[in-house]
Amino acid sequence: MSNRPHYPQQPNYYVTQSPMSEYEQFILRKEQRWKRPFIIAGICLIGFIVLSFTCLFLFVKVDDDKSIDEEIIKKALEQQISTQIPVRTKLLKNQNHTLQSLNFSVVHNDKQDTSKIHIWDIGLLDGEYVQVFVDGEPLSPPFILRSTAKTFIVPNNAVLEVRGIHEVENGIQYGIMFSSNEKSYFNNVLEGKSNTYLLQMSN
Amino acid sequence: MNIVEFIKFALPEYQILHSARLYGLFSLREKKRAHSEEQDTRNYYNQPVIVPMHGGRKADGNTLSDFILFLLIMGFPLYFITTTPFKSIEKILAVYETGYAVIESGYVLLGVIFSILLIGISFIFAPTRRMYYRMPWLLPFIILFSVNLLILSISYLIINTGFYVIDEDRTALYTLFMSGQLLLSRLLLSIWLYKKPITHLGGKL
Repeated sequence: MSNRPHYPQQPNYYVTQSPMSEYEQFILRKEQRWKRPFIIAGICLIGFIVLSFTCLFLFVKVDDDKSIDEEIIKKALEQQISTQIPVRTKLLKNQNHTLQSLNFSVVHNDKQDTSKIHIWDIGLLDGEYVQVFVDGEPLSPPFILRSTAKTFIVPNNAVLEVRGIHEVENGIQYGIMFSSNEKSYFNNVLEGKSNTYLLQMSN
Repeated sequence: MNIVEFIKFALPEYQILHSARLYGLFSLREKKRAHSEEQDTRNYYNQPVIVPMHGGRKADGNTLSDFILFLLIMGFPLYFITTTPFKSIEKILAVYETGYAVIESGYVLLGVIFSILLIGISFIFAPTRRMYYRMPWLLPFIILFSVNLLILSISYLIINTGFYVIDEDRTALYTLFMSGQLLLSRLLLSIWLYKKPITHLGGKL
């Protein structure tokens, strides 16, 4: 105590505030330097999220067609043929339904040589592959089934074969629509097996 | 450029280790000041009085409760950012080996959104921002791993779309495209971080 020089009595406001430690001073200096860039970066990140969410709500259309009656969907799942269900409809979105593997004969009145077919996934996208054959010859390499329909041009008098290439679970459930008779067929094919569609003119 | 410099250039992840090596995992651990006579009698007369930054909670892992707060905020983003790049490498290899596209669930997007939100929150508020001064490795870690996650997700997207149709030419083209994208973006990342290294916010006085 004897070494200390004499100072006048300290005013109150000096005593009440405790001094900062070296660490706190260091942080304060860093804080003054890095406050702005950090806050700008944080606002950018949160703004990016908010912007992407608004874009998601404004511009992304969910192709959930609510105009189709549930009874029509039920009937289509039972019969596996329908005239009222358009291309790209996701029939198995909510139901846990396994379709039967069937072969169909497609009878039509189309007098042209060729017509279109559309193939799409009626369930959720899970990476199933099919390949389409016409009279034993492949139309295209194997492709993944997606909700966006894949379109092919096929002859009107032929045997169409849909072969399952890669299966995830419960078989490969797909929808196929023929423009010649404007009917959609819902079918299930196992890996390595195939469904056939016999296209023929009605008499 | 010698070998060490080249490794520093090619692997910017070196900066995480470097900052941890310089300052430790927790920089400048604050010691509890003993209330001894020596400190109590210290004279503050000529010192400027510095008002403390904030007197509330600090999420910087100094005490146990602070550490729990740190984990609550940064636990999920750190877990997500570290695991997802390796998962996407696994997915890319699986696509390449099986020859079929691997469809991921939408939960990855949710994880990205959630972790970006939490990291943004940790940047904005002062009590949570303190963790970047306390843990100098945290900022390079977040930047490097999130950029890696972005690069690998894009390359996974490219190779996946390539395998939507199983055609040899198409898959070969997309695989080449993917590897080119991977190499180019890694090179750009390396050049960027070699010219402008990430600032370590730790440090000694």
